[in-house]
Amino acid sequence: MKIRIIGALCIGVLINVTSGYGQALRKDPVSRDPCPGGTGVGILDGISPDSLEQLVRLSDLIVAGTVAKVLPSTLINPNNPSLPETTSLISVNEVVWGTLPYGTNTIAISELGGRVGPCGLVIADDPLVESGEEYIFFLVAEKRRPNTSGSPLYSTFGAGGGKAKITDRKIQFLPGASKGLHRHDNTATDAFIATVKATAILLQKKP
Amino acid sequence: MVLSYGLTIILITWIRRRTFSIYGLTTVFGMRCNPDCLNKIGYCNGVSVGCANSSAIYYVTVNLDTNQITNLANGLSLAGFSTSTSELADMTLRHELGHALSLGHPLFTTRTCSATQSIVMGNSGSINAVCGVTVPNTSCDGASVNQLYSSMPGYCDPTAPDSCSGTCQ
Repeated sequence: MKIRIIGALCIGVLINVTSGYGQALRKDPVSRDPCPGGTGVGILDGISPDSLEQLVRLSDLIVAGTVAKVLPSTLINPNNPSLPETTSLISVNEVVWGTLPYGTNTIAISELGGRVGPCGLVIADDPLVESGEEYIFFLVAEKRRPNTSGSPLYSTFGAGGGKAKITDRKIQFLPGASKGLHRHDNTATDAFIATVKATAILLQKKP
Repeated sequence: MVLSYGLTIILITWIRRRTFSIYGLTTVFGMRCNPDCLNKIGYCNGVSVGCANSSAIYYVTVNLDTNQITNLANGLSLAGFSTSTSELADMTLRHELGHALSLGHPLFTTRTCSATQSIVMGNSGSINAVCGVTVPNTSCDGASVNQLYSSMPGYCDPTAPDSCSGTCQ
Protein backbone atom coordinates (compact mmCIF):
# COMPACT_ATOMS: atom_id res chain seq x y z
CA MET A 1 0.00 0.00 0.00
CA LYS A 2 1.52 3.20 -1.14
CA ILE A 3 1.40 6.04 1.27
CA ARG A 4 2.06 9.48 0.02
CA ILE A 5 1.89 12.62 2.00
CA ILE A 6 1.76 15.90 0.26
CA GLY A 7 3.11 18.87 2.02
CA ALA A 8 4.16 18.82 5.60
CA LEU A 9 4.49 21.16 8.48
CA CYS A 10 4.12 24.19 6.30
CA ILE A 11 0.48 24.36 5.39
CA GLY A 12 -1.60 26.49 3.14
CA VAL A 13 -1.49 28.15 -0.15
CA LEU A 14 0.42 31.33 -0.61
CA ILE A 15 -0.05 33.15 -3.81
CA ASN A 16 2.46 35.88 -3.82
CA VAL A 17 2.61 37.45 -7.22
CA THR A 18 5.09 40.25 -7.08
CA SER A 19 5.94 42.62 -9.84
CA GLY A 20 9.24 43.86 -8.52
CA TYR A 21 12.58 42.13 -8.72
CA GLY A 22 13.78 41.35 -5.24
CA GLN A 23 10.56 42.02 -3.42
CA ALA A 24 10.46 40.30 -0.05
CA LEU A 25 8.20 37.33 0.54
CA ARG A 26 5.19 37.77 2.71
CA LYS A 27 5.67 36.61 6.29
CA ASP A 28 2.90 34.60 7.89
CA PRO A 29 2.39 32.90 11.22
CA VAL A 30 2.47 29.60 9.35
CA SER A 31 5.93 28.80 8.04
CA ARG A 32 6.17 29.06 4.30
CA ASP A 33 9.91 29.09 4.13
CA PRO A 34 10.76 28.62 0.45
CA CYS A 35 13.97 26.93 1.51
CA PRO A 36 12.99 24.03 3.74
CA GLY A 37 16.40 22.40 3.38
CA GLY A 38 17.58 19.47 1.33
CA THR A 39 17.56 19.15 -2.42
CA GLY A 40 14.43 19.70 -4.46
CA VAL A 41 13.78 18.17 -7.84
CA GLY A 42 12.63 20.77 -10.36
CA ILE A 43 10.51 20.33 -13.46
CA LEU A 44 10.96 23.09 -16.02
CA ASP A 45 8.32 24.40 -18.37
CA GLY A 46 9.46 26.48 -21.25
CA ILE A 47 9.54 26.94 -24.94
CA SER A 48 10.85 23.72 -26.36
CA PRO A 49 11.92 23.75 -30.00
CA ASP A 50 10.31 20.91 -31.92
CA SER A 51 13.08 20.66 -34.47
CA LEU A 52 16.71 21.41 -35.08
CA GLU A 53 15.62 24.14 -37.48
CA GLN A 54 13.73 25.95 -34.72
CA LEU A 55 16.61 25.54 -32.29
CA VAL A 56 19.14 26.93 -34.76
CA ARG A 57 16.83 29.80 -35.68
CA LEU A 58 16.48 30.82 -32.02
CA SER A 59 20.15 30.53 -31.06
CA ASP A 60 22.55 33.47 -30.97
CA LEU A 61 25.64 31.28 -30.81
CA ILE A 62 26.25 27.57 -31.37
CA VAL A 63 29.52 26.07 -30.18
CA ALA A 64 31.14 22.75 -29.45
CA GLY A 65 32.84 23.09 -26.08
CA THR A 66 34.29 21.44 -23.02
CA VAL A 67 33.24 22.39 -19.51
CA ALA A 68 36.41 23.89 -18.01
CA LYS A 69 35.13 24.98 -14.60
CA VAL A 70 31.87 25.05 -12.64
CA LEU A 71 31.62 28.19 -10.50
CA PRO A 72 29.83 28.34 -7.11
CA SER A 73 26.06 28.64 -7.35
CA THR A 74 24.30 31.92 -6.67
CA LEU A 75 20.70 32.99 -6.14
CA ILE A 76 18.77 34.58 -8.99
CA ASN A 77 16.79 36.52 -6.44
CA PRO A 78 18.20 36.90 -2.92
CA ASN A 79 14.68 36.68 -1.54
CA ASN A 80 14.03 33.32 -3.18
CA PRO A 81 16.53 30.85 -1.71
CA SER A 82 14.98 27.88 -3.50
CA LEU A 83 16.01 29.19 -6.91
CA PRO A 84 19.78 28.89 -7.40
CA GLU A 85 21.66 29.10 -10.67
CA THR A 86 25.14 27.98 -11.55
CA THR A 87 27.58 29.53 -13.99
CA SER A 88 30.13 27.36 -15.77
CA LEU A 89 33.08 28.29 -17.94
CA ILE A 90 33.19 26.62 -21.33
CA SER A 91 36.32 26.23 -23.40
CA VAL A 92 35.17 26.57 -26.99
CA ASN A 93 36.55 23.87 -29.25
CA GLU A 94 34.67 24.96 -32.38
CA VAL A 95 32.30 27.76 -33.24
CA VAL A 96 29.55 26.02 -35.15
CA TRP A 97 27.58 29.17 -35.83
CA GLY A 98 27.80 32.75 -34.68
CA THR A 99 30.72 34.86 -33.55
CA LEU A 100 32.74 34.84 -30.36
CA PRO A 101 33.81 38.18 -28.94
CA TYR A 102 37.27 39.06 -30.24
CA GLY A 103 40.17 37.62 -28.31
CA THR A 104 38.30 35.06 -26.24
CA ASN A 105 38.00 31.33 -26.47
CA THR A 106 36.07 30.90 -23.24
CA ILE A 107 32.44 31.66 -22.58
CA ALA A 108 30.26 31.41 -19.49
CA ILE A 109 26.85 29.77 -19.37
CA SER A 110 24.32 30.08 -16.57
CA GLU A 111 21.92 27.24 -15.78
CA LEU A 112 19.16 26.75 -13.27
CA GLY A 113 20.14 24.51 -10.38
CA GLY A 114 22.86 24.14 -7.79
CA ARG A 115 23.05 24.71 -4.07
CA VAL A 116 23.18 27.87 -1.99
CA GLY A 117 23.08 27.37 1.76
CA PRO A 118 20.68 24.68 2.92
CA CYS A 119 18.68 24.46 -0.30
CA GLY A 120 19.62 22.66 -3.48
CA LEU A 121 17.87 22.35 -6.81
CA VAL A 122 18.31 19.64 -9.41
CA ILE A 123 16.54 19.98 -12.76
CA ALA A 124 15.68 16.39 -13.55
CA ASP A 125 15.57 16.71 -17.33
CA ASP A 126 18.31 19.29 -17.68
CA PRO A 127 21.08 18.65 -15.13
CA LEU A 128 23.98 21.03 -14.66
CA VAL A 129 27.06 20.49 -16.75
CA GLU A 130 30.10 19.00 -15.04
CA SER A 131 33.79 19.67 -15.54
CA GLY A 132 35.28 17.76 -18.44
CA GLU A 133 32.00 17.09 -20.22
CA GLU A 134 31.64 17.99 -23.89
CA TYR A 135 28.52 19.45 -25.45
CA ILE A 136 27.16 21.23 -28.46
CA PHE A 137 25.65 24.35 -26.88
CA PHE A 138 22.76 26.29 -28.44
CA LEU A 139 23.00 29.63 -26.69
CA VAL A 140 21.25 32.91 -26.23
CA ALA A 141 23.22 35.95 -25.10
CA GLU A 142 22.72 37.25 -21.58
CA LYS A 143 22.84 41.00 -21.93
CA ARG A 144 20.62 42.20 -19.15
CA ARG A 145 22.14 40.60 -16.08
CA PRO A 146 25.25 41.33 -14.05
CA ASN A 147 28.10 39.18 -15.29
CA THR A 148 31.00 38.63 -12.91
CA SER A 149 32.40 35.56 -14.63
CA GLY A 150 34.96 37.46 -16.69
CA SER A 151 33.73 35.80 -19.88
CA PRO A 152 30.82 36.55 -22.23
CA LEU A 153 27.68 35.16 -20.59
CA TYR A 154 25.08 33.00 -22.32
CA SER A 155 22.19 30.73 -21.40
CA THR A 156 21.28 27.47 -23.01
CA PHE A 157 17.99 27.68 -24.85
CA GLY A 158 14.76 26.23 -23.56
CA ALA A 159 14.00 23.35 -21.24
CA GLY A 160 16.55 20.68 -22.01
CA GLY A 161 17.00 21.31 -25.70
CA GLY A 162 19.81 23.84 -25.51
CA LYS A 163 22.66 21.45 -25.05
CA ALA A 164 23.46 18.14 -26.66
CA LYS A 165 25.98 15.97 -24.85
CA ILE A 166 28.87 14.43 -26.74
CA THR A 167 29.73 10.92 -25.64
CA ASP A 168 32.10 8.76 -27.64
CA ARG A 169 31.88 11.30 -30.47
CA LYS A 170 28.13 10.89 -30.69
CA ILE A 171 25.29 13.30 -29.91
CA GLN A 172 22.78 12.78 -27.13
CA PHE A 173 20.10 15.38 -26.38
CA LEU A 174 18.90 15.61 -22.78
CA PRO A 175 15.63 13.99 -21.62
CA GLY A 176 13.78 17.31 -21.64
CA ALA A 177 14.42 17.87 -25.36
CA SER A 178 11.64 17.37 -27.88
CA LYS A 179 11.12 14.29 -30.00
CA GLY A 180 12.28 16.23 -33.03
CA LEU A 181 15.65 16.89 -31.39
CA HIS A 182 15.99 13.35 -30.07
CA ARG A 183 15.89 12.22 -33.69
CA HIS A 184 19.52 13.33 -33.84
CA ASP A 185 20.63 11.16 -30.91
CA ASN A 186 23.54 8.85 -31.69
CA THR A 187 24.53 10.91 -34.72
CA ALA A 188 28.29 11.24 -35.10
CA THR A 189 29.40 14.63 -33.79
CA ASP A 190 31.05 15.73 -37.02
CA ALA A 191 27.96 14.82 -39.03
CA PHE A 192 25.70 16.64 -36.58
CA ILE A 193 27.82 19.77 -36.69
CA ALA A 194 27.67 19.66 -40.48
CA THR A 195 23.89 19.36 -40.30
CA VAL A 196 23.66 22.35 -37.95
CA LYS A 197 25.82 24.45 -40.26
CA ALA A 198 23.77 23.44 -43.28
CA THR A 199 20.58 24.24 -41.41
CA ALA A 200 21.84 27.69 -40.49
CA ILE A 201 22.80 28.36 -44.11
CA LEU A 202 19.38 27.16 -45.27
CA LEU A 203 17.80 29.55 -42.82
CA GLN A 204 20.12 32.25 -44.14
CA LYS A 205 21.13 32.91 -40.59
CA LYS A 206 23.75 35.62 -40.31
CA PRO A 207 26.73 34.81 -38.10
CA MET B 1 -4.27 5.00 1.69
CA VAL B 2 -3.28 8.47 0.67
CA LEU B 3 -2.76 11.16 3.17
CA SER B 4 -2.03 14.79 3.13
CA TYR B 5 -1.47 17.37 5.70
CA GLY B 6 -0.86 20.35 3.61
CA LEU B 7 0.53 21.68 0.42
CA THR B 8 2.45 24.86 0.32
CA ILE B 9 2.73 26.60 -2.98
CA ILE B 10 4.80 29.68 -3.34
CA LEU B 11 4.00 31.46 -6.52
CA ILE B 12 6.48 34.14 -7.19
CA THR B 13 6.89 36.35 -10.15
CA TRP B 14 10.25 35.24 -11.34
CA ILE B 15 11.73 38.13 -13.16
CA ARG B 16 15.04 36.99 -14.44
CA ARG B 17 15.82 39.96 -16.65
CA ARG B 18 17.17 37.60 -19.25
CA THR B 19 16.31 36.19 -22.61
CA PHE B 20 15.60 32.85 -21.06
CA SER B 21 12.70 30.85 -22.42
CA ILE B 22 11.56 29.19 -19.18
CA TYR B 23 8.21 30.36 -17.83
CA GLY B 24 7.47 27.83 -15.08
CA LEU B 25 9.34 25.77 -12.54
CA THR B 26 7.87 23.42 -9.98
CA THR B 27 10.26 22.11 -7.35
CA VAL B 28 9.35 19.15 -5.18
CA PHE B 29 11.14 18.51 -1.89
CA GLY B 30 10.80 14.99 -0.55
CA MET B 31 10.27 14.16 3.11
CA ARG B 32 13.99 13.45 3.41
CA CYS B 33 14.33 17.23 3.35
CA ASN B 34 12.43 17.25 6.65
CA PRO B 35 14.57 14.88 8.73
CA ASP B 36 12.92 15.92 12.00
CA CYS B 37 9.70 14.24 10.85
CA LEU B 38 11.02 11.56 8.50
CA ASN B 39 9.44 8.20 9.33
CA LYS B 40 7.30 9.71 12.06
CA ILE B 41 3.53 9.98 12.18
CA GLY B 42 2.27 13.38 11.19
CA TYR B 43 -0.53 15.07 13.11
CA CYS B 44 -2.80 17.89 12.10
CA ASN B 45 -4.62 19.52 14.97
CA GLY B 46 -3.88 16.42 17.01
CA VAL B 47 -5.29 14.01 14.42
CA SER B 48 -3.00 11.55 12.65
CA VAL B 49 -2.65 12.16 8.93
CA GLY B 50 -0.22 9.36 8.19
CA CYS B 51 3.36 8.32 7.96
CA ALA B 52 5.88 10.88 6.77
CA ASN B 53 8.02 8.28 5.02
CA SER B 54 10.60 8.74 2.30
CA SER B 55 8.05 8.51 -0.51
CA ALA B 56 6.13 11.46 0.88
CA ILE B 57 6.35 14.96 -0.48
CA TYR B 58 7.35 17.50 2.09
CA TYR B 59 7.20 20.77 0.27
CA VAL B 60 6.44 22.14 -3.17
CA THR B 61 7.32 25.50 -4.67
CA VAL B 62 5.95 26.86 -7.92
CA ASN B 63 7.75 29.68 -9.65
CA LEU B 64 6.32 31.50 -12.63
CA ASP B 65 8.02 34.06 -14.84
CA THR B 66 5.28 36.48 -15.74
CA ASN B 67 7.49 38.25 -18.26
CA GLN B 68 7.92 35.05 -20.22
CA ILE B 69 4.22 34.24 -19.94
CA THR B 70 3.42 37.67 -21.32
CA ASN B 71 5.92 37.17 -24.14
CA LEU B 72 4.39 33.81 -24.94
CA ALA B 73 0.87 35.24 -24.94
CA ASN B 74 1.99 37.99 -27.28
CA GLY B 75 3.61 35.43 -29.54
CA LEU B 76 0.48 33.29 -29.58
CA SER B 77 -1.57 36.36 -30.37
CA LEU B 78 0.66 37.14 -33.35
CA ALA B 79 0.18 33.56 -34.48
CA GLY B 80 -3.57 33.99 -34.43
CA PHE B 81 -4.44 32.43 -31.08
CA SER B 82 -6.56 34.64 -28.83
CA THR B 83 -5.06 33.69 -25.50
CA SER B 84 -4.67 36.52 -23.02
CA THR B 85 -1.81 36.74 -20.59
CA SER B 86 -4.13 35.99 -17.68
CA GLU B 87 -5.58 32.94 -19.42
CA LEU B 88 -2.12 31.66 -20.20
CA ALA B 89 -1.00 32.32 -16.61
CA ASP B 90 -4.03 30.35 -15.42
CA MET B 91 -3.20 27.42 -17.68
CA THR B 92 0.44 27.53 -16.67
CA LEU B 93 -0.42 27.52 -12.97
CA ARG B 94 -2.76 24.55 -13.44
CA HIS B 95 -0.03 22.78 -15.36
CA GLU B 96 2.42 23.45 -12.52
CA LEU B 97 -0.12 22.15 -10.01
CA GLY B 98 -0.06 18.93 -11.98
CA HIS B 99 3.65 18.75 -11.30
CA ALA B 100 2.98 19.57 -7.64
CA LEU B 101 0.79 16.46 -7.58
CA SER B 102 3.73 14.44 -8.93
CA LEU B 103 2.55 14.32 -12.52
CA GLY B 104 5.30 14.65 -15.07
CA HIS B 105 5.64 15.55 -18.69
CA PRO B 106 4.96 13.05 -21.45
CA LEU B 107 7.98 11.02 -22.33
CA PHE B 108 8.68 12.14 -25.85
CA THR B 109 10.10 8.81 -26.81
CA THR B 110 7.10 6.77 -25.69
CA ARG B 111 4.26 9.31 -25.64
CA THR B 112 3.25 8.19 -22.19
CA CYS B 113 -0.03 9.72 -21.09
CA SER B 114 0.57 12.89 -19.15
CA ALA B 115 -1.91 14.72 -17.05
CA THR B 116 0.02 17.94 -17.18
CA GLN B 117 -0.04 17.89 -20.94
CA SER B 118 -3.80 17.54 -20.83
CA ILE B 119 -4.06 20.27 -18.23
CA VAL B 120 -2.19 22.73 -20.37
CA MET B 121 -4.44 21.86 -23.28
CA GLY B 122 -7.30 23.27 -21.26
CA ASN B 123 -9.60 20.29 -20.85
CA SER B 124 -12.67 20.71 -18.70
CA GLY B 125 -13.67 19.03 -15.48
CA SER B 126 -11.84 19.08 -12.21
CA ILE B 127 -10.39 17.06 -9.38
CA ASN B 128 -10.69 18.44 -5.89
CA ALA B 129 -7.15 17.90 -4.73
CA VAL B 130 -5.38 18.58 -1.48
CA CYS B 131 -5.96 21.81 0.36
CA GLY B 132 -8.99 22.57 -1.69
CA VAL B 133 -6.88 23.15 -4.78
CA THR B 134 -8.81 22.24 -7.89
CA VAL B 135 -7.09 20.79 -10.90
CA PRO B 136 -8.65 19.74 -14.20
CA ASN B 137 -9.78 16.16 -14.54
CA THR B 138 -9.31 14.83 -18.00
CA SER B 139 -9.54 11.12 -18.58
CA CYS B 140 -5.77 11.06 -18.65
CA ASP B 141 -5.39 13.23 -15.57
CA GLY B 142 -7.96 11.25 -13.63
CA ALA B 143 -6.26 7.93 -14.30
CA SER B 144 -2.87 9.29 -13.35
CA VAL B 145 -4.04 11.03 -10.21
CA ASN B 146 -6.14 8.08 -9.11
CA GLN B 147 -3.17 5.81 -9.53
CA LEU B 148 -1.03 8.08 -7.43
CA TYR B 149 -3.71 8.86 -4.85
CA SER B 150 -5.90 5.83 -4.52
CA SER B 151 -7.95 7.24 -1.65
CA MET B 152 -9.00 10.67 -0.51
CA PRO B 153 -6.07 12.60 0.91
CA GLY B 154 -6.45 14.18 4.29
CA TYR B 155 -6.69 17.89 4.68
CA CYS B 156 -5.20 20.19 7.25
CA ASP B 157 -6.34 23.74 7.58
CA PRO B 158 -3.48 26.18 7.08
CA THR B 159 -4.03 27.65 10.50
CA ALA B 160 -4.17 24.31 12.31
CA PRO B 161 -1.24 23.28 14.50
CA ASP B 162 0.82 20.41 13.17
CA SER B 163 3.40 18.08 14.63
CA CYS B 164 5.01 14.70 14.24
CA SER B 165 5.95 11.98 16.67
CA GLY B 166 6.40 8.26 17.09
CA THR B 167 7.87 6.09 14.37
CA CYS B 168 6.57 4.50 11.20
CA GLN B 169 7.88 3.31 7.84
